Amino acid sequence: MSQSVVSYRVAYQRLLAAQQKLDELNISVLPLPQQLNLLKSQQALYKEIQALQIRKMTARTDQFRALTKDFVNAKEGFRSIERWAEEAQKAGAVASGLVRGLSLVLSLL
Amino acid sequence: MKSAIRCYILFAVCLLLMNACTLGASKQLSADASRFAISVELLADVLENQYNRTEIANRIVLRDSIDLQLQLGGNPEVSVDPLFSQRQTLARKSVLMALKEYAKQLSHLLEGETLQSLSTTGITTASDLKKITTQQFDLSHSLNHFQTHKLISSLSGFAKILLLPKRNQELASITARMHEPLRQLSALLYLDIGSSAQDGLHCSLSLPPSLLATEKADQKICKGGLRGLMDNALKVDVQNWKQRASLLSMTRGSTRANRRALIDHIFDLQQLKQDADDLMIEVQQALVLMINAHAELVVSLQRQNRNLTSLSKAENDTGGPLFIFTSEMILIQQENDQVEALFTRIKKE
Repeated sequence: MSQSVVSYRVAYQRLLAAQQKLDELNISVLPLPQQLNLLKSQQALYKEIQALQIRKMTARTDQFRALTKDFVNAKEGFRSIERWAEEAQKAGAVASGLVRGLSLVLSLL
Repeated sequence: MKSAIRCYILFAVCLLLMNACTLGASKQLSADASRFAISVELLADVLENQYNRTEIANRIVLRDSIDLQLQLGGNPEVSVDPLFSQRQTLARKSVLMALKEYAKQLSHLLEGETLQSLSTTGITTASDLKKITTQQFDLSHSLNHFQTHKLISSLSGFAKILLLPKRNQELASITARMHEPLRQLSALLYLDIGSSAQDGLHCSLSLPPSLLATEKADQKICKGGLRGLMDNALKVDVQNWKQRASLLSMTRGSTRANRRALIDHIFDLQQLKQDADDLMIEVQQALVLMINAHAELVVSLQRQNRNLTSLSKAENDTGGPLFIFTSEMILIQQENDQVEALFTRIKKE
């Protein structure tokens, strides 16, 4: 999904949705590199959500810009999990919501 | 259990108030102001504790995440950024200190002391208060810049009155003038505590009517602030420990005792998440009760100035605002102690 103009409030909802989808993923079924990607991505989402809660969460219509460098740096990790999830989805191993959640988060970066 | 404790506290406060009934007019007011000051100090201390706990919770989340990544052979960046900058933390401490200082001044004056000059703490507090900016007290999770600026501006009004030399005879007018800045200061803290509610795109909570500015009819509170931060931190840490439990169950060395220890820790975190949020809801309510209690003190002082014999409502009515505020604060103190004990246990894991 290409980067689009979204408000802080919409971005916050996307981050929460992605956080939930990643939380639903069973870490023990993932290969080791994806386990590490998952943990790193969850940490990046956590930091970005906290930054939004302190500052810009309802700066209403202002255009969203990432607030933490961890979130920006986690882009490749999100992509990697997304690729893995797309394959796993074909095999019926994960629900489609995970791919959608990651796609929405990537649209913020 | 909670209601039993509440009954016990109400009974104890009733006994105190019955004793107070035997006091004369000014002594009654002095006793009321003293109880008000003690409760305000407690409220400020509980809130300061929660600011500290939220910051520590942030460190715990990052520590646990980094630790698990290292355990799996990863190479994570080991660093932590505090949630609040030093200046933001100082701004909050100054506001809480000002609140305590005002209540203390009021109490001392009614005990017969004439405060011609302020203590060093009072002068420093008033000075710090005047320097606070919207950058230090960012409430954009619920307010726009103009609304935040207005609330912050009220702090310098509070500081000015704090610096005035006061005599007992002037107290009625000073406390009456102080009521509006005090209300705004409470609204500021109420919003800074924020909300943990998952509201979707629309914020469902409102600022209580007694804290609203008269011209602003409906001030919504969105997820964020202390409650939102703590809620998210503990939610993420619960998830991290669930992942540990899940990974542990896949390893050969996994024992029932190991698994149970992890599960117990997750239970503790879930309990803390709930208790810490409940405590902050109570503190938000206490801010409203504090304003009501202050209004009662203003009326009592005005009546005393007019030499009316009917004294504070608390003297004759044990259900008055001051009584409710002080009772609530005793309960909050106990809840704060429980949260602190649980938090200390979790920190050690």
